[in-house]
Amino acid sequence: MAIELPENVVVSRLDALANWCRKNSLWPMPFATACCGIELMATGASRHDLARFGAEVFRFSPRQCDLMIVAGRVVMKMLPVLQRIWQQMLEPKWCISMGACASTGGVFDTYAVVQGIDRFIPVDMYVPGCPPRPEQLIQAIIDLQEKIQQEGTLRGVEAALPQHQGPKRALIELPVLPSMPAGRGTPYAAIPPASVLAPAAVPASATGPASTTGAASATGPAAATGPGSSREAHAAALAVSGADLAGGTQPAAVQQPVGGGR
Amino acid sequence: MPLEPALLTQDLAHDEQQDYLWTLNFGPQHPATHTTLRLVLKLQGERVVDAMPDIGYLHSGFEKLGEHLDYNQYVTVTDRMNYISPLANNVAWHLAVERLLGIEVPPRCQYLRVILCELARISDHLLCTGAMGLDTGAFTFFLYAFNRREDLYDIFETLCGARFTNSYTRVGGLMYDATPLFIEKVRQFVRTFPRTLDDMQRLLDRNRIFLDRTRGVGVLSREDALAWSCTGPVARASGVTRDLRKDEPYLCYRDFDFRICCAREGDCLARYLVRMSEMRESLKIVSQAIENLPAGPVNVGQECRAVLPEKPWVYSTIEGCIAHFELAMSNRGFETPCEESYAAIESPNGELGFYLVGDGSDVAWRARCRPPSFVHFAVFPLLIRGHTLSDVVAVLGSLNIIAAELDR
Amino acid sequence: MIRPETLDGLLRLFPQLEHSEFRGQTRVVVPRELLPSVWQTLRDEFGFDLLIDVTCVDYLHYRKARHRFGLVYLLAATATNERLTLRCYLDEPDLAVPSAVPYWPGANWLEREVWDMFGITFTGHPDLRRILLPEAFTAHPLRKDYPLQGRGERHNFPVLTRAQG
Repeated sequence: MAIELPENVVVSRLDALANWCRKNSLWPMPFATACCGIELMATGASRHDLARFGAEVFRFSPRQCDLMIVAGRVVMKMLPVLQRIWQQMLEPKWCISMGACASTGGVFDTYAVVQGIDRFIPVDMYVPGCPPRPEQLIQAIIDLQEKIQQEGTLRGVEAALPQHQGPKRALIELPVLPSMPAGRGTPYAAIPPASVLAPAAVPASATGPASTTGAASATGPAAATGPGSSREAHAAALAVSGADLAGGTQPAAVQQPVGGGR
Repeated sequence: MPLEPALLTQDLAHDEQQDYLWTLNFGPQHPATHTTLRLVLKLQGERVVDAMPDIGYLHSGFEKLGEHLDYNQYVTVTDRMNYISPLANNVAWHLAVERLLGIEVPPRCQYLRVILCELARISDHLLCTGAMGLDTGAFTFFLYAFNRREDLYDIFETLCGARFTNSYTRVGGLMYDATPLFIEKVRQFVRTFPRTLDDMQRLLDRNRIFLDRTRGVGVLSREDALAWSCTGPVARASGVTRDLRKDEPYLCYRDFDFRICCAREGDCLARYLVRMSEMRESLKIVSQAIENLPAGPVNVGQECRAVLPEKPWVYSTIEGCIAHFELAMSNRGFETPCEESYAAIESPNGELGFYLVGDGSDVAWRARCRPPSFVHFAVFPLLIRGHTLSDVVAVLGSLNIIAAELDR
Repeated sequence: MIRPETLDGLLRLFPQLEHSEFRGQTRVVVPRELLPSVWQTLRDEFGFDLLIDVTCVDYLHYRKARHRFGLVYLLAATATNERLTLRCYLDEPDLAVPSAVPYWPGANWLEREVWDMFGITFTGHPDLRRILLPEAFTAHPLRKDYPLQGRGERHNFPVLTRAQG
């Protein structure tokens, strides 16, 4: 497809053709970790039959897939694996974050669970529910097909747009609240200040565009549901970054403007 | 945190005399692990010399969460612990809480809980055997199993509105009573399910490929099963005749006529056969319980302060409203003894128990779960040594490791 | 849950053990030094052949607590359907107990989990590494002085963007 094409209508038609091909032959890679994985299996099984929508060819090798369905919570130990598998997949590729846990951490606001995979890898579609019903997953796949048809280009230039570069959500940890009221037998010895909780080791290339484009523009029109916007606004108000967690030393927190509106 | 290199013990990593051995990484994202397990296998050709499980890829802090959610809230988390038989987890959790509080639930509640536990057992065994069939090449078998699981999901959905994260039990009772439609659906399931079981057994029981891949593979002796703390179908397939439903009858298991399914061989085939016959026994219990379902309330009365009041009472009277607030508000709640207790049920996977430490409030001081998958996965290296690489999936499938319960 | 003759026999052999009962469950407090001999006796003479669980409780700020940690061993006898809970109290800084692996191999992973979550070391354990958390993790999260949301470890990762993917 390396033909040098002028900027005319033919290009757009080729784009449309490529998108049409891509959207109807999605090969999902089930990154099924927990409960949502069972619903993912149910979606592929006989009653809900994902084959009706051209996305039933589950391949467990990332090299063969173009749609990663992250089903279930991703924890600290699993996240590097998730990132490596995402990098191993070939372009063009998309990602569905299935269920509350993958999208926001869900009920597991604990020390080990990553609070939303979109902090660390790009996500195209969020499916709400704990776990989502198979119908919801099918709807997300249909929506993703629509998004591919609308947004995609033959040579994938849309992936290079600045609004696709940043992480979708402000990469900020909310302050650790003493979530249970006092006097119920759960004393915290120390509640770390909010500024300590910002992540370290965010590459400069990633933080730069994020600070300018913000969260709202990158989510895209076809996203089924985003994570809670009030939470994001809250996070934007507390934007800090650059603290070193491991050593306990804390360099001056850099204020970082983040577009919080949605 | 950066990607870590394979965590190996010294004998696996640097043993120069054994440098002809291959080291193969298996998982954590692999189709046959179904969930997130990781094995580092040491191979001689195709023969597994040693296996090194590496777990924790789904560790989400369940037990820490149990120290922050109250006894009614935490039931939602137990759903996500063993997500292929969540109702059994719900029952186990609230059985432990009720033992700590000293509550005895009414007979109708006990019967309903037994029905749900047994339906959960069927749904677990369907998935376990189905996935085992899938891994050993029997795809049709898997589809048969999954189709019937959908029927079970329908039943659960009729009961409480969720397909499998049910959260149906409460302290001292249930969310609400079962409807006649639920009973009708269970009856229909009891009528139709034996035929599916027959079909499934006809597909696999005499299938040459399946038998060759499972018979004599992953043999667990009775002594090892006991020494390694195995319970449930894994132990029963090795000749340990221990089943808490008979040995320490909880709920109303005393009332039913059923048998404990055991085998002597201790191989993958025995575990498969034990599970298949347990489904028939579970069906017997369900049909006895559904036909003898006692009338009466499902919740302990209001004289017990720990029980959430009935919704109509809450919505229509001020007393009910106050009673509800007294339990639900964050600075109220009921009292528990400053004591420690353990209660276990025979969950589909084995003995699932909760060790609770009460501290006076309605939040547990420590909510320890005794996870059968965790214990069973520790046996895995023992079972796989000397077998071939392709037997790994058969052994994994027969142990029925659920990662969320394994790692919690 | 436990036959009186078993308990009497155990107390006759080890008269210094305290025991209590709650909702039909018998608990015996065993000093750390006596643990191996109690295990040996229970397993070989009283038929407690099944180690159900090994776990730990952190009693920091617990009402009327006298010790920081309490180890819990749940034992069962398959032949007689008895159950017994052993407890062993520990205080900082000496958090080492003998390992139960020589008596019940199934204690291996359970003790590794206790080490991982509470930082209690088991002397004589064949392979005492972290089991659930990454090896680089420094804290022991089930201790009461560790916050539920952690200390930010869960977000200490690089971020991948579209272009990097």
